[in-house]
Amino acid sequence: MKKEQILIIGCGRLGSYIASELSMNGHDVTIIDQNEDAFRKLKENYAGYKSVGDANDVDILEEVGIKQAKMVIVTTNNDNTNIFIAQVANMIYFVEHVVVRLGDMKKGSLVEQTNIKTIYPFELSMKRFKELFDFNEGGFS
Amino acid sequence: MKIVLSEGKSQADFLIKLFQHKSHKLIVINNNKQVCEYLTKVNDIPIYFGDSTKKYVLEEAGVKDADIFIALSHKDEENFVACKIAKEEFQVKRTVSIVSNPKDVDIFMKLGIDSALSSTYLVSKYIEKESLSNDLFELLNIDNNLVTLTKLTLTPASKQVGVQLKDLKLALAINISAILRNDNIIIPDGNTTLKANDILYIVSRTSHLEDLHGIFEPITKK
Repeated sequence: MKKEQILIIGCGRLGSYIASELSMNGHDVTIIDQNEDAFRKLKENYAGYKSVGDANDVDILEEVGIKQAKMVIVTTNNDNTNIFIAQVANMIYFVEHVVVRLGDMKKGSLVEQTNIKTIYPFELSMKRFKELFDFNEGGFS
Repeated sequence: MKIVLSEGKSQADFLIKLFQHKSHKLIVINNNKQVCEYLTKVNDIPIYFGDSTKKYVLEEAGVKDADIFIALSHKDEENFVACKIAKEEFQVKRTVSIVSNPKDVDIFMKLGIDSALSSTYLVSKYIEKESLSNDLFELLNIDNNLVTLTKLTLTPASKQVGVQLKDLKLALAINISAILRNDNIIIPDGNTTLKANDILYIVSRTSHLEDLHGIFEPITKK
């Protein structure tokens, strides 16, 4: 894989994990979070940039290089923020790959008509549950 | 008109009072229990308690096919999501959002919100225009800032004093609509002669504002 500039918004469990993985694979990663303490979740060998700031602000998005980013991954703990930033990345800065994590699947309809890609933890949990217990079999095995 | 107000306290209160008695159907939604109780008490109307960024809340509140949806939260991203759901899922005709961050005015418009308003943004535009000339005072911007109503006072030194309107040679997009002279309103025509201390009310295309400033600029006393 070619070395790409990747911007990650929100350094929670998912954001910090993806950032660490991509960084270890040699990508040029920047992660931004409002809270500096959040960066403690990053693995020790994370070699990317860390930036403290409010990613709802377009000036801050530009400062952390959204214009050059090949991919933006939005994983803050606020769905409304995530939708807004994902739309800004997609429609204002024309970022090629935009991935957004949403807790509320119903809000996904707001990004469905675009090429923004979604991650729904709820859907993944359901899928796993159905793998563990197949409803169609009738009764638990 | 069916009008939806989402979030806000004093702003919502003001708009409720403005719209309440004019045969509008008002739907007010707020996600803060205390604010709901307050608004219900002072205005004697039901307030829907819930989060406007959730589809089921807007559905239960009856937002469908509303004429206008006004988002008043101090959080821009909440207003954005609420307006988007209202527009895309409930076919609301027009969405208007207050924004805290002035930079979001342009962004919201590009992302499909019909109007975005920021007090800081308006103040900056006001100062920008105000700095062009002291004698001109813009009263009102109408229709997404396409039309502007400007107020202007003629001083005895104004070179327009004693001139008939037809000789002012104003562009078609600039119209002197009314003159206030000694507390009387005059609706002028081409033969009206301007006098010192006349207060002119001028309706113009906002794009012609600089022309307007140009025409009346030499009259400033500076």
